Amino acid sequence: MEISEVEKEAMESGEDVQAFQGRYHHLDPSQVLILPADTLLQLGGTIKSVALHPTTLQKENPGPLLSDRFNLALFQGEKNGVFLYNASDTMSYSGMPNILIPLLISILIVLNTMISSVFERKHEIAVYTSVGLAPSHVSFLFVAEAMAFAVLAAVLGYLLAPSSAAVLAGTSLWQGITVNYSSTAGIAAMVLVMGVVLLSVIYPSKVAAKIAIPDVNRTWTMPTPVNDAMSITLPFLMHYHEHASICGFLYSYLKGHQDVSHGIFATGPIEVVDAADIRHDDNRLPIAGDCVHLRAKIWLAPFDFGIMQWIDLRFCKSGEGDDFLEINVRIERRAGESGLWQRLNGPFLHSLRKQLLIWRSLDADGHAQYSRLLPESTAGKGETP
Amino acid sequence: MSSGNTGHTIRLRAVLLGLVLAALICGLTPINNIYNQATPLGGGHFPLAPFYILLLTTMLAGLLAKILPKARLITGQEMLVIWLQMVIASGIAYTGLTRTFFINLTAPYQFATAENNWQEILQPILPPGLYPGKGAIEPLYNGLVGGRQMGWLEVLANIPWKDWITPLTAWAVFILLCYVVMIALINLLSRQWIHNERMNFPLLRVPRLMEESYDRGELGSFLLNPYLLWGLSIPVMLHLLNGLHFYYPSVPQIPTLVLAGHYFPKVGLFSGFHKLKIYFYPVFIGFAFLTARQISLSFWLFFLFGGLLYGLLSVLGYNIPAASLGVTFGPTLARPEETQMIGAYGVFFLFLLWLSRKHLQDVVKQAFTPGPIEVNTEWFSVRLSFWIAVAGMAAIVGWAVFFGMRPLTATLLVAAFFMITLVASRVICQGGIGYFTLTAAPIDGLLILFGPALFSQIGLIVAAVSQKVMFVDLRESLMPSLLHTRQLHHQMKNRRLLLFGIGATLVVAVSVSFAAMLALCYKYGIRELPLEWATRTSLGVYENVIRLQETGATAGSWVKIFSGAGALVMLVLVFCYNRFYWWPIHPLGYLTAYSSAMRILWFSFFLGWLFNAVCMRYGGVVMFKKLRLFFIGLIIGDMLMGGTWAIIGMFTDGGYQVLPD
Repeated sequence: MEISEVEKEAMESGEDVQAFQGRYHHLDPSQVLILPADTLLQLGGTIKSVALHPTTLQKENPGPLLSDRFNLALFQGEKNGVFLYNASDTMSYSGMPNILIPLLISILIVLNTMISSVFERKHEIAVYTSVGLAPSHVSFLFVAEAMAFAVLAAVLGYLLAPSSAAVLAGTSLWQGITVNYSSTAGIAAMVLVMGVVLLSVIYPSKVAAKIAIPDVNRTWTMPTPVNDAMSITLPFLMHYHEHASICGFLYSYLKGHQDVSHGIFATGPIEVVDAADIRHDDNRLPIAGDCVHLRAKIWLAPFDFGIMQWIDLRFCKSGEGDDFLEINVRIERRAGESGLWQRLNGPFLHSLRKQLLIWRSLDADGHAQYSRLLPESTAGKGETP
Repeated sequence: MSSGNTGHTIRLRAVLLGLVLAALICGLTPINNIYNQATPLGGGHFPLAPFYILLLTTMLAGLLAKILPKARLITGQEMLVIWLQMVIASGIAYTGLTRTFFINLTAPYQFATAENNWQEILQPILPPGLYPGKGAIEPLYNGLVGGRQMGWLEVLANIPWKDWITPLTAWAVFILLCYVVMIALINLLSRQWIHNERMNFPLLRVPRLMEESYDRGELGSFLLNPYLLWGLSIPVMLHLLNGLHFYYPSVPQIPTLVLAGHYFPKVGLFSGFHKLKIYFYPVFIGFAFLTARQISLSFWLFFLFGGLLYGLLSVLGYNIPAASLGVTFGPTLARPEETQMIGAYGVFFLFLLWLSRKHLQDVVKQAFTPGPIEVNTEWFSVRLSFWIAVAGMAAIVGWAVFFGMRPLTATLLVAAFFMITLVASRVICQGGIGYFTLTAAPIDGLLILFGPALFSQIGLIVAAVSQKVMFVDLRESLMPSLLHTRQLHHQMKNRRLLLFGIGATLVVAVSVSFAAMLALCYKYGIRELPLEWATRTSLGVYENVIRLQETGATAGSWVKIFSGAGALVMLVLVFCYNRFYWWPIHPLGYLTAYSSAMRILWFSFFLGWLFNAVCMRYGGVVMFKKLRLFFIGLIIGDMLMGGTWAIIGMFTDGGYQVLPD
């Protein structure tokens, strides 16, 4: 048998299923009977509500007083209409000014300790950055260290407190102090301690970050687009003979993002064009000579905004010399808002650069494997993305 | 999305087979779901029976393809087309239309008592063309005399059709107009949503991958993939044990429901979680993994925030009574805090329009420019879609005005209907929610904005009843299925045939469902059938109408405050989502914060999000493509067990339900 949701929930929770008390029901006066209370009680009725009519004039408004006293919702008819009086608990704070000064003192102590610690460990920070930690990672190290100390201090303090209370309770030192370590005040104190430490370590961790060498995210800025197009030469110089491997690696990276709307971008059709193989065609993206082009349609996440662009990764001989390979990325916006398109391309380009760093870390077998993955040039055959 | 197998066109026989199966599902649904009380054939936007049939036919076709490789009896794309036809039909046959339809039209007569006095206050104002003659109602609830001994055809012949012909015609016009407008709107928006916004369709992922691998001849390696098999094994073991426990209680059971509400107090900051439940459904965990992680994160996060809000308000001293809601028509609307959804839906709809602004400008330009027009991948041109949508909506307004509504009210009502349905379709399709319910109804928004004076007496009845017919029980609604269909047809050829298939399916589904439901009700009588929910909710519509008309109660100020707050929160979410590329929460999740579906699904979305986030963080897209097969295995396994136990349940006295009821 089908039951209502409320009844189902109640049954699942093991409660006795009571009648579903709906919302306010208006009863027509012709459907209301007025009987003496005794008669009704004898007939098996139960008290649902009580109405009071004070016989003497009240000086104060009894509504708030009564609702506060009985913790009940009371309807009171007044000259201006019927009002509902309801009482509930509110929160109250006390004692905050007493701990403000000790808090300030502890913040300054921790700040001082952490800053001197940062300056003493300059060499250590240099080692961190040389193995590749970004400044944000370095600052987080200091924050984590401080939090570890905070936790230790809070736990030790919590252990010390009842112990000292047990030892000193009867002595004159403890006169006038009442303690309650089982209440939430104990937890609030621990949270306060950790919060204070966290606050104090913000500035020292920033100092540590400044000392560290900045990483790629901070030194590189996006170029300004011209006519909805951007051209970026990636700061890598490879050997020209490696271009098949790099191209294959990036091809498999782009191909991996086909068919999925997860990650920071999604790829449509991909085309590999060797400029040496084709004739100039007005309907296609402009082709630079002597380059291998990897071209694709890319949608940038979040996909709801419909930001779509064509990218052209060009692997060309570098100006430094024919033996060297330069990688240039040309991006043309095709759909979506321009401002958002520029913002979203930041993470996309960073991910491309990261892929090239990953390629660098591969061994010779890995390079060979990716050069085999590169499909033949689809010049003149495939669809334009 | 990937290009489908455009080499093979869809053949007429596939569409016709889909029609036959759709008709079969519609014919069997009332007797299966209602009379036999068996596992529902449909149930949500990823219905059980169609997927079970798809799975078995794909496996069978795969085996046959090995034996007769050149026969090409059926392609994967064709099986997807058939599957979608069945999905559309299964919704119409039950909660999507038929379940409450006949009760809706007969409740004012059947349930008129001396206490509610409907004979005097309600029946005189009901538009006669929309309700059946008196002679049809009594046998509907009590059954025809000797009906139980009659065969089905005999019952059909004995139904008092002359009492039904007028209302069925009137409602058929309304229903088909609504369906036509839905098709036109989906066609209009498909290029923007599917191509420009690359909408992710988690509910379609499993059938598509399965059929694409079948078309490539790799079905074996797909189904026997180790990841998939591991994923499959979890629901299989789980439901094997639990199903056996259902029949043989001595077999141990693995609990899939944890009543977490007991750990929270009834008062205080966490009082909103007093009824918290944790359900474990492998199929929904699978869908959550396939959903974008911003969306799955926002679903469970906003659900928890919503619960926290109750507690926060009570701790700050605000105990807002439920009476300040006034009279509402929302299916699960119980507290004033939930009316945030009204403002949120409105703002999100505007956000959707803003995202599509360029596309809509093109559409309007094409609509008013004469000359030949190119059809890209849509069913028909956007110009035609535009005019059909406008004409269709105008026709629905005309229909409402014909039955007594004021023109302005009817226009606002139709706009509200389609606005809510569009937003809900987006939530269901993009969020991968297999089971969705609305919080507030379209009329509630209109009542809050314009007050009850917007509706005349008759207007309110027509509005409330037509809302109940089509636009408030969205658990198995049509529009999300149409959007799914559009996505699948996006890359297929001969779209005219496909469109014909959809249209024919709709007509057949409505006709067969109505006939089957009427036959069931006239044979046994609604009184004897377990239609409590349908009866209660249909009665609730009329009770609310009467209550609103008698008291004229406007929504309290709290409701207006919460609606405004909801709009503001959604605005902030949308702004942050646009402005900050790192913003991790999708505004979509806010819309389901108070949905009763999220009470069941929230933990599945949490798990799915967790796995997705960790996988993408540490493994990237490559790992995601491997790992998703595990979660696809969870989905296939759960549905497989659901269908198998449903079949077993048909031959036994009780049925073990795998999926939520």
